[in-house]
Amino acid sequence: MPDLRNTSALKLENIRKSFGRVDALSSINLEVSAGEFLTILGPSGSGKTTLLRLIAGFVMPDSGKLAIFGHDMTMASAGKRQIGMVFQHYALFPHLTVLENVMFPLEMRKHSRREAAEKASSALAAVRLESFGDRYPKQLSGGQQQRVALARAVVFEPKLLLLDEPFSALDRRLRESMQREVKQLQASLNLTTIFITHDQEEALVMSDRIAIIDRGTIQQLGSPNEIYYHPQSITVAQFIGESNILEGTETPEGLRTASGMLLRRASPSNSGRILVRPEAIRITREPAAGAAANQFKGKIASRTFVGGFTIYQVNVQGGDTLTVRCLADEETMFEASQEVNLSIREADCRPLPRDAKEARV
Amino acid sequence: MNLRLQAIKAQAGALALVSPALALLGLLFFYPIVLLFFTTLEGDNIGNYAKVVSSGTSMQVFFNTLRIAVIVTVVDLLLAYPLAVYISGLSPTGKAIAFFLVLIPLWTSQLVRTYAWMVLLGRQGPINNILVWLGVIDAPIRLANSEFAVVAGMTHIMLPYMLLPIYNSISKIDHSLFDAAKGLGAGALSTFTRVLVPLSIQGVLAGVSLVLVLSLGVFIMPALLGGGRVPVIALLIEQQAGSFLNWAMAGTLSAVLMVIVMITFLVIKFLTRMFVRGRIDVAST
Ligand SMILES: Nc1ncnc2c1ncn2[C@@H]1O[C@H](COP(=O)(O)OP(=O)(O)OP(=O)(O)O)[C@@H](O)[C@H]1O
Ligand SMILES: [Mg+2]
Repeated sequence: MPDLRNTSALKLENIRKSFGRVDALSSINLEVSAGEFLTILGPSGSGKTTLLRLIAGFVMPDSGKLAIFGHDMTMASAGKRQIGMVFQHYALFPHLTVLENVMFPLEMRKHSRREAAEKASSALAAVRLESFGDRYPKQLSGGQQQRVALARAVVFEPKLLLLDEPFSALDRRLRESMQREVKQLQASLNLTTIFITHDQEEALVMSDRIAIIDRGTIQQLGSPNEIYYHPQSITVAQFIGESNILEGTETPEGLRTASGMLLRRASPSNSGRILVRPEAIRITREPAAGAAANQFKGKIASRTFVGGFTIYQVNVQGGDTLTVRCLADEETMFEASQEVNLSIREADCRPLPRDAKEARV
Repeated sequence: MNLRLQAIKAQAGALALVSPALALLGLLFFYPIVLLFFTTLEGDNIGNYAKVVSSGTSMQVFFNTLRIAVIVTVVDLLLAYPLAVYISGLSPTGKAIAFFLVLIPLWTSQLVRTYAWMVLLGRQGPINNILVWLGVIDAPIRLANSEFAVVAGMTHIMLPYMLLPIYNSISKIDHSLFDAAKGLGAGALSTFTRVLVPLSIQGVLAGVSLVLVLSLGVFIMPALLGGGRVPVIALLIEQQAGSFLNWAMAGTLSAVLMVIVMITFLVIKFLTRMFVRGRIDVAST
């Protein structure tokens, strides 16, 4: 019996999976600790579902190892793994009532009917559907069906909970309330959870850690803050949040772009590329006195009003165009072709490493 | 008021549209049935019905017909269900080929297929030859002109009618349901009994009712493959009408057969209701 305190809930080593000539997953290494909420984020076709199905046991890897709480489960069947899964389209049994759906995993585990019914009822109560037990799935709304699927996935106290884009079919408000609900349930059960999404905001809101996956490999793994502020590649930077990526030549003072902008930075690097998040750029009418090290004059190219924020495209004198995002303020809105001053703190000019592939070229 | 008028107009319009079809059905279908019914009453009122019900022979033929129909239905169900599961897992090309093979029997004349079975089952036919060659039997045995031959032939003809509705309902089942069942701890048997069967039961009942009802009325197979040894109701009717020119008796037997068919239909309809109670659009998730 392995020591549970020191083993990770899930450990993937060098997992590979290809379908014919398509390498869906190549060399995945991942460790998830008990009680952690990990989100897998990536564009369509990047291998998210394949990875989740592989963890669940619906797909077997071509090579590599998979362990759950220290037990090797690489080739174990799905039923043996004790994993609760919520499918993208719920996958509720249409011929069973809501209560019967939630009782299903318990009956498969040979619980008595009475005990199964009791446990299923309390699981339904946990997702506030206790009065819907007699209905059939088709008689519920999308959000309610999703909650039934959640109750069914946790009722048998699984070791892991997997969710494959569970909210993609829900509207925005319902999605936000479901996010809170899942998060609460996960925290109260202290359930190790792996969550798939291609919605970056959802990933930032919900996760302890985020794994960015692209073309079958994990690009970066870290806390939401790390991923947002210290992306290790242009792929990650562009995938999370909006970004200004500036390239140029390294000089002793800082990075100089082709158009002549000089950007001073707090931390030196020699990648020749820096990332500036749009909200890190201050925009003012007059030059800000004695403020940031990087000051530029520019002209507003366009303005987009998105409720709480205003997004400006600003042409900096010389050529580069920067995206600037600031809190909306009705008093001081800038108009197109207005002259403005931009200032960027040294610390907000973050060096962006070149991708491994690029470095070789 | 206006709305009601509109509704009535709409109904009248719909009626006008279906009226040619109704007229055709009435003329070619209901009218002959009514005629047939009056024929059965010719002479001595309901006396013909009394004769049929009290006659041991005709009741036995009815029973025999029902028995054969049930055997054919069960055998077809046992063949078609696994076949439907298998086909639903094939690639699109595989499906096209499978359906082509399954549907060939529907495109060829029943007479041709029946003669094919006569050749297949004959004393010098390939089956006898193979059995002798394998040493299973010493000399050719009688395979044709027997109930076995009739059941084999009918099973073959009826297979598509069983397969298509079952395949249809199985192919509509969302595949993630099987993954879900597996992940929730269901083994192969539980997945079959708790998920696959309940979700395809409508197709099964549709196939069963089609094959059962069609089998009750078959004529060519028992006539040509039964060699007079397999009495079924269609043969009895033909005999009354063709040989004895007793139209009233032939009509009475037909009417009784019709009642049996209708009862079969009602029973299956009732079963369908019972199995799919409370569900809304079961298969299409
Ligand atoms: N059963 C399969 N057979 C062949 N190729 C497959 C199969 N499943 C996935 N693939 C391929 O593997 C790659 C990864 O697919 P996957 O479904 O894991 O992507 P995903 O990240 O979940 O995408 P999405 O966000 O669109 O759901 C894709 O190129 C896909 O075409
Ligand atoms: Mg997917």
